[in-house]
Amino acid sequence: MPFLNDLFVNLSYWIHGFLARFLPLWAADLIMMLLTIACLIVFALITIMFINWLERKVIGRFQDRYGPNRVGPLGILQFVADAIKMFTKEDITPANADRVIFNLAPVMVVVPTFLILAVLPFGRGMVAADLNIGFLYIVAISSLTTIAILLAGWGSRNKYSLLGGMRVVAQMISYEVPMVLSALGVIMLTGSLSLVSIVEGQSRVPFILLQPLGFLIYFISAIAEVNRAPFDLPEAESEIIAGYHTEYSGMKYAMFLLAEYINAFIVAAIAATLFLGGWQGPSLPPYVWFFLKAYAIYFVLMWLRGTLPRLRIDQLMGLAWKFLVPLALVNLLVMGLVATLTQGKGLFPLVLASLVANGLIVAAVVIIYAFAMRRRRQVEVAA
Amino acid sequence: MLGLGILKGLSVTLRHFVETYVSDLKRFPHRYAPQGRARRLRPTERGIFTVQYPEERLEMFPRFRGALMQLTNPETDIPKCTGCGICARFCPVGVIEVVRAEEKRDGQYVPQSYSWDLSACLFCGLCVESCPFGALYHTPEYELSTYGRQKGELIYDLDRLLAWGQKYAPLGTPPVEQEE
Repeated sequence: MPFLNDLFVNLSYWIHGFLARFLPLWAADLIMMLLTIACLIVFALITIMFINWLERKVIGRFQDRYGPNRVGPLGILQFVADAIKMFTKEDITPANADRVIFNLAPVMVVVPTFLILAVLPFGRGMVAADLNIGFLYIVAISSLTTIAILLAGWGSRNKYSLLGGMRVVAQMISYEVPMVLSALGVIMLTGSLSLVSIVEGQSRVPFILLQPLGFLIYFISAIAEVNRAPFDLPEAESEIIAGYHTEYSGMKYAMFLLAEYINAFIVAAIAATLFLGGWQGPSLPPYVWFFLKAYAIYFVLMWLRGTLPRLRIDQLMGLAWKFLVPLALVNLLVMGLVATLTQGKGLFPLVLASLVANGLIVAAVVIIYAFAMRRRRQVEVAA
Repeated sequence: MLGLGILKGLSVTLRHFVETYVSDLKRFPHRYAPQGRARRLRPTERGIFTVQYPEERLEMFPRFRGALMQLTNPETDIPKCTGCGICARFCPVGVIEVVRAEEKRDGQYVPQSYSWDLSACLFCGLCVESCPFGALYHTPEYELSTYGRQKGELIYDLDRLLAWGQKYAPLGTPPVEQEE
């Protein structure tokens, strides 16, 4: 088992040692870096193929049908067929489009997603770059996607594209606030922004037990952050055709699709890292645990997509600013209080106090909501 | 209220998700319906409702207006059609051509040639409605496409129509007449 546990780490040490035998050290380091980058990109491409297939199968099951089952066994080669179709399609740039921006956007939208992969801890020691500001890096880089999508919307010179781009900006900037605020609770507990330390801080108990509410807020805002159903307003086909990628075809469209799916997987992976203990887990190798957790969360993403109808834009913004942001702030305050009060008193009091505090917050929300509903009814009766 | 509706919706979709696997298991080692005969699920039934077309086919209902067939009188073994040409007269697009034979057979007029041009037929069923001898009916056959139209694959002559008649109404009564 120790062999399997550190399979990839040992493999990289072995390759490095092999290269260092007949190359100067800096050359061996450089080659290892390039190899890591290549591995991450290949991993991303394989992930998108797998996730695309998985999502279509699972959504199919939710809708009482099989999903793709014609190309290859269980339809697993469907993505290959789709990719061939995408590659051979005509590459159209609209006559009135801003050519530079229009062609730059699909590239720009993919780059941040690949950059985020660099700090994800896939297993013990399996991280390309253990930045000490890991989470800050993720927040900063994932915001770049917003600009790329706005570029796509603006450069297409199409009212639907522009509307979609505008919606992306409004939505992603709004939901970044509760997302970071809820993740702050985790960072408060570990005292570090590095994702590796965050995972190591969960060796005794995953943070979802300490901050279930924080996890919920993070999860909701993360879904909105990657524009997935039920928050897929930027590409709501019944309202604005396909949103910001209305004018894109062929490979450029495939780029948006790629970024979308990888972003969804990354969000699931980050949620698993921050709240479910990342690669921590008994008996199975760490990377297996990581992927189990990430895919479990991804299944919930698909489940929500197969269940919920799309929100209206005012409901979407209202949920972020009127509900999630105040709740995240209260959650952060209470969690900080709990962490300070139970400092040095061991694990059990911390878990107990956190759960009680979370329960109190939920109870407070329910009471306030019931009160507000009664007020509203009184006002309606009076009017 | 407060996300309870969301949880309820999630439980509904999860039930559907699980039930598709249950319906798979019931069919287990086979993936498709036996002999490829699928059945339309009733609204109360659960599980996968799609029909995997080339492997499975739905049974067509008796009044389905598929390809035409010519019936044969089972007692005399000659076509019921007398070549009167009423069907050809009724046809709004003129895809039926009938020529009556010079001599009678067993005291009954018979067609010398009969042809139905599938390429322009709109399956309105007026020919079937108009036939006074009950010789012309629809089959449940719907897979009628061919790889070309130059060699007359889409023109159905009397023999092909009679063969379908033998297949779908061997006793001289088509399923649509047995309904009541």
